[in-house]
Amino acid sequence: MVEKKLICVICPVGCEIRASIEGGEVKEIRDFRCAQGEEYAREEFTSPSRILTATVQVKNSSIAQLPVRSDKPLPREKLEKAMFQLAGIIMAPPIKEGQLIIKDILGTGANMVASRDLEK
Amino acid sequence: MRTSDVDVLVIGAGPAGLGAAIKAKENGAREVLVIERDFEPGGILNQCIHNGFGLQYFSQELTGPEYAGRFIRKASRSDVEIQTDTMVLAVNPSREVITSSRHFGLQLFRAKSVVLAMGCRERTRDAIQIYGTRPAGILTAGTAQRFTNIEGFLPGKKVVVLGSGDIGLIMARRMKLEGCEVRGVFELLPYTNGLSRNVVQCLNDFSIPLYLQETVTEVLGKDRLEGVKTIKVDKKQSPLPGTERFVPCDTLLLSVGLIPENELSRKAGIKIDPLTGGPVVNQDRMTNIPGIFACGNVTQVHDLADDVTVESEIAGTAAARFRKGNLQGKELSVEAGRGIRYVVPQRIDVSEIKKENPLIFFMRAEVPTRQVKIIFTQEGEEKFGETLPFIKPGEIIKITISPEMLKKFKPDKNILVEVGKGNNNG
Ligand SMILES: Cc1cc2nc3c(=O)[nH]c(=O)nc-3n(C[C@H](O)[C@H](O)[C@H](O)COP(=O)(O)OP(=O)(O)OC[C@H]3O[C@@H](n4cnc5c(N)ncnc54)[C@H](O)[C@@H]3O)c2cc1C
Repeated sequence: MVEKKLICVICPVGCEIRASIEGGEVKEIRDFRCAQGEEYAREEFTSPSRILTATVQVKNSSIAQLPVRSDKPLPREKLEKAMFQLAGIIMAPPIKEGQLIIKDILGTGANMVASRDLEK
Repeated sequence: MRTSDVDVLVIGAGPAGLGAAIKAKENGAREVLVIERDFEPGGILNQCIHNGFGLQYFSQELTGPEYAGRFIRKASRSDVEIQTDTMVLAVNPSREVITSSRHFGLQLFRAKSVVLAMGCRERTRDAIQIYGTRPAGILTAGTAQRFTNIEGFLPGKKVVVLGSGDIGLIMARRMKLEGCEVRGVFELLPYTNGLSRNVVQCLNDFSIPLYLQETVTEVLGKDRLEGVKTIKVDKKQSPLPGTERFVPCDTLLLSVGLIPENELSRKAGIKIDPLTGGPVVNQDRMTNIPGIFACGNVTQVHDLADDVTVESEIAGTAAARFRKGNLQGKELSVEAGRGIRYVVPQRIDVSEIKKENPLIFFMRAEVPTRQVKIIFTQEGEEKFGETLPFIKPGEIIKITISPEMLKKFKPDKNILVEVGKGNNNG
């Protein structure tokens, strides 16, 4: 059994929520003040995930980097690895917001997509 | 010089300017023109590639470019004209606007109303007076953000961030994800000015240390930055001798505050609130000059683009409805009292108290406090109060007063907004 704590980021109160974790499962959770906070903390203690935002290169364009995002959160520990996949990509305009850049990145089920339109 | 007449002229095509222009159109303004000095609309959002925008306004988590994109597309559907690559050089009190551009040369616009939406700029090393040499590698976090996210240059490899505002936190993560070594974020105050979510997701996620009550005193290096000297400070922000350290780095990012961009406003004779750094405005976001409105970061430094949008819609609506003089009734002032750093709007038109619209007040706390009651008083008498579980300087407080509650206010007495007595700090 390990004791873990985190700061809840759901609202500005910033509760310090504590939990006892065993074998990747939350055995007991305390010091939360709302249901949303509890849900956030449970997930954060066991399988934290994040939206990844980054850029890829664009050629023949008014800008040098195209902003991209994952359409779903990725497991937190895969973020840095995903950056290496993006490093090799070169795009060219025209590009539409939401356009697919990398499908199912690192087998996470999340796609990397363009986060803006780019006409030129 | 080309001279033209427009109904509403908006300066700046960030979310504030675009939001105001769209609302002005919806409220019956015919020609609405937005002037933008950059090569494309969107403002600072184009470089804010991270997510965290739109949760309140669109109930959806968007990145900066996606948030901007919604307004850019809507503006073009609404027939709002945007002139890019054009810089506004001057505005005068009769609402004449002079611009300069590569394509059109000098232009003069005569507008029925003007909306100031120039955003803000970052404080620099000079502004906070860090001692030392003049090496390359010292830049504001926002400049580094533009280089990295739009122009495709990484400003360095070993990074120290000074200041724990949101831009500093976001850039610490960004540099780390791009493969830099981020040595730490240094903050003079005992708490961060950033959102807790950014502390967790930008620093804790990547084990980037946050050094509170510790600051940079000197930069070293001849051609390129070689490192910084840091020192711990006490509660009064006085340096603690013996706590000096040398932190090797080739890049120092400054995230030490934003300043509303009001050179144009000052020259036009617009009154500036020393507490917000932006124009003194009324509930319609009209400045002391009739027909000149202001919204977004030019009025107060906002944390959330969503709040900028709310404010821009107020200003845009009023700008469209403005007919010389008709919005100006007798006004009373709203002042920040105990525990409150500033309040916007700073003035309220008395006739507004009798109308059926709620009024939204934006304000900032002076120190982090739990369980506080924010009270609105007139001549020492409480007229309205709202209890909040937690306030902190880094997060704007919004309080809405309903039309029924507004009726309790006297029409001829100034309003003071303060933190109720008997609140415990920390
Ligand atoms: C790094 C960073 C991170 C942020 N993160 C978040 C976040 O996660 N979530 C969130 O909701 N908000 C966030 N914000 C806040 C939000 O992005 C801003 O509050 C908002 O974009 C401000 O909008 P604005 O239109 O007032 O200013 P800006 O976007 O700065 O637009 C002002 C425009 O005016 C133009 N301009 C200025 N002077 C002139 C002139 N003389 N002539 C012509 N044009 C001129 C400028 O070029 C610019 O395009 C962040 C801000 C920054 C800087």
